[in-house]
Amino acid sequence: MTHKSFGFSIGRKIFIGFFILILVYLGMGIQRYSEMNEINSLADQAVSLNYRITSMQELAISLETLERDIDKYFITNYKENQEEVDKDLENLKSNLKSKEINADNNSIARFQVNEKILSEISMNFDYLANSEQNSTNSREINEKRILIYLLLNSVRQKQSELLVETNNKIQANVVSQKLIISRVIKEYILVGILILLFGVLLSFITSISISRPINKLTVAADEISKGLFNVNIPIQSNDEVGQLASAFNKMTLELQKTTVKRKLAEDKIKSSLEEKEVLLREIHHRVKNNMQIVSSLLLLQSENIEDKKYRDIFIDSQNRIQAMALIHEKLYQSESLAQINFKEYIDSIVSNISESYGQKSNIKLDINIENVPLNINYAVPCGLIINELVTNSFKYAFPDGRQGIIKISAKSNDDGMIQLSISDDGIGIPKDLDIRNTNSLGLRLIIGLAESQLHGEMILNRDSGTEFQINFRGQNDIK
Amino acid sequence: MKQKVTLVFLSMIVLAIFSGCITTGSPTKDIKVNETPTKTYEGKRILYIDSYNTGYEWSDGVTRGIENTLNGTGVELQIFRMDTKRNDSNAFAEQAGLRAKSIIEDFRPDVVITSDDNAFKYVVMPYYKDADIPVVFCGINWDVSVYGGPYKNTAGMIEVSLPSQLISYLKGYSKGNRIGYLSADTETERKNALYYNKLFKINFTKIYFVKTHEEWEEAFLKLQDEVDILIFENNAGINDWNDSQAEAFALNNTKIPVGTTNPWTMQSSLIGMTKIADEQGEWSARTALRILDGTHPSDIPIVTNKKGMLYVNLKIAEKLGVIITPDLLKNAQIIR
Repeated sequence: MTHKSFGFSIGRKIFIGFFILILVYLGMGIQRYSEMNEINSLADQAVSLNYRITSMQELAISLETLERDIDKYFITNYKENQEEVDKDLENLKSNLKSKEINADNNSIARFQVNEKILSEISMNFDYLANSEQNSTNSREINEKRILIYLLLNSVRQKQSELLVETNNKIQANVVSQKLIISRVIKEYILVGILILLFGVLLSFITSISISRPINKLTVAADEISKGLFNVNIPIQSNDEVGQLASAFNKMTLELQKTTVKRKLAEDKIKSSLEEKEVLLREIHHRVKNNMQIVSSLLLLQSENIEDKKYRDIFIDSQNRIQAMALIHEKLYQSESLAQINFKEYIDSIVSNISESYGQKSNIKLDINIENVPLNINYAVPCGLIINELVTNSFKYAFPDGRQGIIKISAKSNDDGMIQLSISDDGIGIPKDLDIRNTNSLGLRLIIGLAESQLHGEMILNRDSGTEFQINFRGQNDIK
Repeated sequence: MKQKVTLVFLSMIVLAIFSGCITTGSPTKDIKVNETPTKTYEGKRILYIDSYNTGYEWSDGVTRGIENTLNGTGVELQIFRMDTKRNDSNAFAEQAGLRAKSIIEDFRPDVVITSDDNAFKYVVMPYYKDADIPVVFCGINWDVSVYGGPYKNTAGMIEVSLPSQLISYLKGYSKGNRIGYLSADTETERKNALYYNKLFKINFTKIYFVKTHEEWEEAFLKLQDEVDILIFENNAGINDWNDSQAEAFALNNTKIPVGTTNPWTMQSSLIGMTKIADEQGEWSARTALRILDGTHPSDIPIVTNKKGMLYVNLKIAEKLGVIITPDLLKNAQIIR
């Protein structure tokens, strides 16, 4: 799925989104302003209507007072009560006049009608007061009294109508305010939902613009980390992510080219290495063969020597050469040209020596070689030392068919020190023999190899038979 | 990515539902229309048995109350008038009772409404005492126990007057405390006089029951001198009664304050404190509907009438030369 991009940067997209949201809010604000004005106007009207209600309540109280005072006068006929009624009527009229100041036209009209009715009440009341004092007939008095009550009821009715009308207006006002508020709330909710939807859409677009390409980049980076460079991210946007993807694709292409070059170089080196290895094996083989020839020549030569002493010298030399030849043999046979299997090497040396001395049944061999890693620089001196010492043991340690055992061991510890031990339980070397001041070629060779070649320490133990122990650091390169 | 798209669409659906809920919440829901569900009683029948006759103001008022209340309910209403006011013999009443029984058997009403004493006395008491058919009575004066009621199948409204208050008003315009009683010579009116004394401790100085208009005028005239206050109870039962003649006679001869408990005798009286016949009819019909709804008649308590009207006759007041008090002038219906 490819994404059709907008031609804007991410920052610009977000800016446009927020700009639209702000515009919507601004539009709402302008709309609300007019609605708020409408509500304010309605609130002013409600205050005015409320004032009218208060006025009418005051008038209602005054009317009640008037009626009570009229009742009192009709019952008592006292002059004082008559005066109270007159006063009530005047108060009511002036009260109505004062209410007209803040009232609307409709209310003013009603107030004026009521003023007229009150004047009529006043007139009838005065007539009645005079008539009763003049003992007018009861019918007229009753009728006048009824008329006054009817007029009072009429005033009350008018006030009541005005009250109902005012209440209706207040209700209409409240309904209008509720409707506006309800409309505003609905619009807010609607716009809120629209903004939310727009926000979700904006987030979705942003997600598509940013997250999806980044996910693709992540997947591509994973593939590159696995060595797969033929990935291409199909992002066509012009924004920052698009530029990043483009740079990524470019980087992938460069990596691909570099990897191809490196592979070619590696192949070349590998080929050259294999060639050199073959050559080295060939050299080792030829060295071994030449040494084998030298050894064979010494063997042939030794067979013509009558004197055992001289013959043994030849045999010793042959064994020394054989020991060195073995190294080369083991090297070209081994997988690695740098290291040999030390145990196999020692086994072979000891086997050669044993054969040289006719497989003596009275001498047993105990070879305990751990898997000590040794390169050729260590293996040759070690092999020669073992060759010399084992040869000595075969030759001198067990005279006259003496039973015995020759032990050869090699082990390494954690700090890289290698301990090579060659011992026998034979008769031992003479007590007075100073191994460092002797004419024995073998012992001088051993000391030389141990100290000069291996840079190790040689310890001679003569307590029980003879034990030569050589300690050296295996990692040191021997030049 | 699919999860994101799903999330976005789910959000939109939730928002759409949310907005739908809001927009459906119209402000009109706050405007409650006060509609009374009209329960229909289609197929239900009510028989109204009137003790008296059409044209008698009391009977007409009760009938009006019943008809107005049952109007639009779907109830089938049948009316039977026993006409025992104009025909006051026991034999006529018994025959009328039998006719009513026959009508009940034919019409098979779900509820029977009776008004005034005779319908109860000559129909319910002899034939439907504790019967299955429910009966709602009204207009029985003062006490239903005189007929052995109430029965298990009856509920009703007793008709009472307020003579004490009436006399109290009249005393404001009288010169003494002697009270006289004048009415048609019927069982009901005799019962009224008895109960005024029994319940309200009113001791009448003079009592006259009359059968004819002439007797009424004669008694009316005598009473002007014999007592200080007169209760003119009822003219129903005076078969030759003449309203205009009675009015003229009263205007010419009234010397003392006269009071009445019936509106139709106001032309001859100064003050009237009357019962409202419509109230009896309305209550009876409402009670009949309650019974149709499943309420048993015996679970409905016996009640008395609660409404009344006050009248003042200015012509009689002029004749007497009295000035009416403010409370009466403001609250009473004025008769000129």
